[in-house]
Amino acid sequence: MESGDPDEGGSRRAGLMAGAQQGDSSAYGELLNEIGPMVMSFVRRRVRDADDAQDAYQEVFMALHRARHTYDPSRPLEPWLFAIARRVAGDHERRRIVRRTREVLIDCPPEIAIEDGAPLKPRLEQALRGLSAAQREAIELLKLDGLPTESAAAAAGTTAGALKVRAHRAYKLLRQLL
Amino acid sequence: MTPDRTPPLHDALVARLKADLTPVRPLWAPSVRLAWWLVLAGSVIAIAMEIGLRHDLATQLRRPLYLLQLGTLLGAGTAAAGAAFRGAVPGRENRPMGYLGLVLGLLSGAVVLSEPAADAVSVGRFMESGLQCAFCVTLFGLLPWVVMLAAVARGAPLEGGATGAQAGGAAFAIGAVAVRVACPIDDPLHVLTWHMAPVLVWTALSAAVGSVWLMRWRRVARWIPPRYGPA
Repeated sequence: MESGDPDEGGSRRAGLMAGAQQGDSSAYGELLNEIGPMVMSFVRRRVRDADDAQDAYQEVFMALHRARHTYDPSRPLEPWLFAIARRVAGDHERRRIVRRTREVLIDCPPEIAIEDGAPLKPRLEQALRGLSAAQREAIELLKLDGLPTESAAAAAGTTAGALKVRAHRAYKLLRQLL
Repeated sequence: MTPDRTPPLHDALVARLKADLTPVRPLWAPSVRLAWWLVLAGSVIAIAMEIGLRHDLATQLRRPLYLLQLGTLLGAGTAAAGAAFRGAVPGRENRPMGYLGLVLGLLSGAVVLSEPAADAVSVGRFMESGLQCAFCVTLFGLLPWVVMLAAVARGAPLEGGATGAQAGGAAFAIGAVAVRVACPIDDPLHVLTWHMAPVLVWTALSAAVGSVWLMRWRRVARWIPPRYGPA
């Protein structure tokens, strides 16, 4: 549980990280659970897309795990943690902007040539499993359920534009997988 | 307990990281690592003094302009090295220290320019003696550079290019100091072209190396949580 006093909470987190450096997995778990909401709200403020924010969150945790030996237990944890989070979130947002400038949104999936005799359904199901949950949902709503874009977006709890982006990425990935 | 306001993958991610946890030895403080590196840099300069062709070094070391050149170049290398070691620790980056290194390097170049020019030599002679000096800057800077890159790579630099540039600038500034105490030619054109320009070239190369090699720790294979993986 988060301590009421920020100083006390900070030094407790520093202590937990020092424990993690010595291999104490329960201290590590406690620390990761405690910093999770802080990291998520930090990342969400910097990464606009919700899916990208989840990816960035995961990458922050992986990075802090890889960099845990660089933390100095005599110093506060937060500057170290947020320096990593800032960099990872910044990289994600930069990549998103670059991707956005190169992407062309389309309404229809590309035509895919099927080899003679190859059963489509098992291959399609296998390919769909290679998509992220959000991408799979977009394909299912738009193409399998046949919903109009606005209705599909409402069902997915997102905007029509965001759903089109997800569907577009899914089409690209499917084209590679099939 | 799963905390609020975390994504659905949080629990699986924490379980995975906990399972992967092993004890680690905290990295030495940047100041301690800098001190050890300066010992190495000092040894390189001492070797250059010992094997160098400059027989009037004792006299030169009493000349303020010469001392100022060496001092600013040494200061540039030390500041850049300090910035590189701090850049290896998230949250400890110190850009002003890196800029101080750059300013001291430029100041050193300005001090060199204030030296009187020597008699003109043929292009062939200029190139021959110069290439030798440029090679020696590389040679004397190589070990400090490799050691520093390896030391920085043991940390977790967040800006590989900048940290690589600082590492290269520091190491080859030491190489330039070593050549300055070993080379008997004081002509400003020679010193700027063959002692100092190689430092800039190596700094740029080191930035390129750093932007790739020093960022390896970030390129971990992306872990796919179970809910995204194959059914």
